[in-house]
Amino acid sequence: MLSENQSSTSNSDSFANRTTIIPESPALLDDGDEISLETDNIPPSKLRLSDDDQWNGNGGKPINSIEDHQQFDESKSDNRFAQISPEPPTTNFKIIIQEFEKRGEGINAFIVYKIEIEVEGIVGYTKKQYEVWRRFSDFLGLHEKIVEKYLPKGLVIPIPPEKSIAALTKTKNSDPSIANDVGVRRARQLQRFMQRLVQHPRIRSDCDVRDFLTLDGDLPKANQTSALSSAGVKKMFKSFGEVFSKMAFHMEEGDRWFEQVQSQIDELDEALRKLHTISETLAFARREMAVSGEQMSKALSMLAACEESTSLSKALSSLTDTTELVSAIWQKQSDNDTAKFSESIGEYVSLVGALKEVFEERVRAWQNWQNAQQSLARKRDQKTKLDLSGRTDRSEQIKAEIDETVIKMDQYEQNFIDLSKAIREEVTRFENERRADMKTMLVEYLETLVGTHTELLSAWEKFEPEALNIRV
Amino acid sequence: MISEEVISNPLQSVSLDDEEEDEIKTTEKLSETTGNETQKTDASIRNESSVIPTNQDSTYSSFADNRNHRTEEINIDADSANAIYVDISDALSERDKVKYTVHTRTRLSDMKSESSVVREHEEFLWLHGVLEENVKYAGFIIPPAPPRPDFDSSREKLQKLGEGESTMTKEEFSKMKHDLEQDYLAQFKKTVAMHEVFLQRVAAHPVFKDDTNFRIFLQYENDLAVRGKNKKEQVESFWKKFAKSADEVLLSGQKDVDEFFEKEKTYLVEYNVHIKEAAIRSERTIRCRKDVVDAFSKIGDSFERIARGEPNKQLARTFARGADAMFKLKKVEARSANDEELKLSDTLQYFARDTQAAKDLLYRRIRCLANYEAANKNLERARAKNREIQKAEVEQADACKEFEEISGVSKTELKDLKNRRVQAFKKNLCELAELEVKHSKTQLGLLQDVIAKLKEQ
Repeated sequence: MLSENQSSTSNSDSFANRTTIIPESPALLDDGDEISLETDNIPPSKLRLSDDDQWNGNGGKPINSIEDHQQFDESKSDNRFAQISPEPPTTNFKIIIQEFEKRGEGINAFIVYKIEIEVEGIVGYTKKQYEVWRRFSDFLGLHEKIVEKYLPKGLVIPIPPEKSIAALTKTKNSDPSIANDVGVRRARQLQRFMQRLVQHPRIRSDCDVRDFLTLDGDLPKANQTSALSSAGVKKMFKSFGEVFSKMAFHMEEGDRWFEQVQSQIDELDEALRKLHTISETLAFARREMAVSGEQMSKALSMLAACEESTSLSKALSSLTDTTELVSAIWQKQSDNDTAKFSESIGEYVSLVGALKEVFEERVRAWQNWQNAQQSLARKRDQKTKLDLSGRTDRSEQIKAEIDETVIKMDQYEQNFIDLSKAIREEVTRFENERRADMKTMLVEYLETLVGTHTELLSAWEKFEPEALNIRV
Repeated sequence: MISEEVISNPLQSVSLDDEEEDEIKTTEKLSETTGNETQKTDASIRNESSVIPTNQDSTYSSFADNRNHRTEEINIDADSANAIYVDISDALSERDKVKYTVHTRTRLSDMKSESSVVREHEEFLWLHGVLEENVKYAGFIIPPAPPRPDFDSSREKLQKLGEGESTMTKEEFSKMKHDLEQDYLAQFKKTVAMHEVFLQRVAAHPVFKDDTNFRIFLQYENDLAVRGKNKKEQVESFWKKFAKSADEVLLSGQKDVDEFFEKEKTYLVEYNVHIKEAAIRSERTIRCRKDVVDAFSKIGDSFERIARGEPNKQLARTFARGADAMFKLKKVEARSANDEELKLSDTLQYFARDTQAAKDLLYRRIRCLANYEAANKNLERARAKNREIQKAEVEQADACKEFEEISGVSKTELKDLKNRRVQAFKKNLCELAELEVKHSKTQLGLLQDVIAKLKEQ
């Protein structure tokens, strides 16, 4: 408990450090590597981006951030991936899920998604291209298998989109456009999920994944096909159990690095969640704008039809076309807001969740180890008592038990150590991916905006002469 | 002829940034009128060169724009000795009302050469009411009364912000507060501008400017005792409205002798419906657009926050760039939304009100026609009964004269309205197109710049 308190105070201290004004400690600055936002006429950002320099500049500080760990790691071994990815670097694994179709009728209706796979240089894949059809529950089944296999090993496993009643009823709905909506969205999410899955150096060569991606025909039905995923309920119980065990068995974090990373991840989690909500608001507001813009263009067309002045009427009907076009462009951008921005952030929210699960796994491993330690202590106690009372017959039995427990304890300890090591690697991998993904996401999203504004520009440029043509 | 913008720019110098606001009792004082002498000389200089000044740059700055933007140019003949210059030199927003300082200058001998009085929204309504009720003005389109100042939504938002203070960081709070204050200020200035336009339209009118009530409105020092209707008056005005619309329905069967007016009536009724609808729709679109702007700003905040907590330097930089881009985009987008509101939505609303005024005019004329026909019938009856023929003849002649007068004047008024409308639409639509193009270009440049910088990293 004490260590946690300390860590929280030191955290807040360090936060204060981060926000202090840099020029006061020029000695700690590394030269001119600071981002300059003051290039334009906006007020300078409040961000102090060079805080890291200050941190690292403090000399002999121990590892206290992911970044530091990474540097630390890099200095030790240049090829960090050597242990976990034996594949040659020229690999390609691309998954596209775009098409889907509805199969079955009424209550038995379901959607199957076509998975197109381009693969090269991965063990176990003989062809370069595959094409399979899978239904949503197959994906969930695959996820479950992977979790069972790899979560105890400390791998961060991407989470598939959730099964929801809303989506379910829409799928069963006979109106194709509604079902289509769900399909498009889900296909995108599934593609993200699968892509993320095969991005993992260890999971990509897993046999279940391979079967999933290469076997023709239907897979054996996954056991989890019930309409409502029980995951939510399970999660609730699990979290309750966790709180309970945490109270009973608080893990004293001995590893400074884990402590740091966990608090960073928590912070990131909160920030991403907030961002995700706002990005959804943005997409929603833009959609509303498109809808009301369309209504406006309808009203304007009525006005244009009624206007007496011919030239003004012409200009107004041209304005009608323009606003209609503009609304369509906004509508498209709203879809982009969702697909390129909101969903990317959403994916990371879920990935952070997956990362947290790994941390929980580590806590569980620790608890097992502690339990073993305690039972060992108990048994040794018992043995002493028995020895004192001179009952040697029982003593022998206890001794055997003690030996057994020692072995078990050692196993648990080793497990904990291995897990911790694996998690460190996973976190590094996660961070690397995140860095690349966030930038790509931002660039891609901004590029959609470029497209949108180019279209808007041409729409308004076309309108301009019409307005000038109004004869007074 | 000079544009009125020349003589009424005292508020341009308002400093927007350091406007401190009390959240509960919001009081703003816009800047005082600055030296009238300089203004006069300014006006006369511009007058000689007869150039209508259009400062392009100032039209682009969104907030000053609200103040100076006019849907329609109102021209006051500066040469004539009997011109009246009116402007609202100052406005004070209080809890539930706004006090406008109406400032008047004139060379008319029967008026004080310069005066300032404090007026409230109700008094503007009163002025509009007396003009509308005056039978002598029945043939004119009465400039529509300015809409009631509505700050409830901004106030509500400010209040909500106050409640949410604890959940936000200090920076976020002050930023949001600033945005809301800007919003409020923009709204406030727009209201002031609309009240001013109303007075200027009256002042520029060859007949209304000599109206006694208008003079009283401009120069009577004390308040006009029309602030706030009591219950009886409220009932009365409601009854009047009711009677009017009932009368309108009754008169809808009235056959018009003049084809021009018959056509004009159907036209205006239809036009009014459509323009009102268009105005409402465009207003709603702009509201949504402003929501988008808000979302941009929040995303920027969020990026900034992530950047601050990000241990990886490079990624922090990426997010900081993203935040920066969002803030810039937000600014341009806000401006664009604002311009769309001014050029499109406000124009539609302005002419929706004017069309309503024209419709009222037609109602008055048709009422007059009905009276005239009634007088005719009375005369016939009197002749048949051979009683009180003379009285009926006088009445019939009066009604006839009145009707002809109204018809004559309103014909020109209606044609004039159409001209004004086409002119104003042309001006505003041209500016709209120009501004949208300009903003889109700015945004494109901005985005490309950011993308290039991000890729460079």
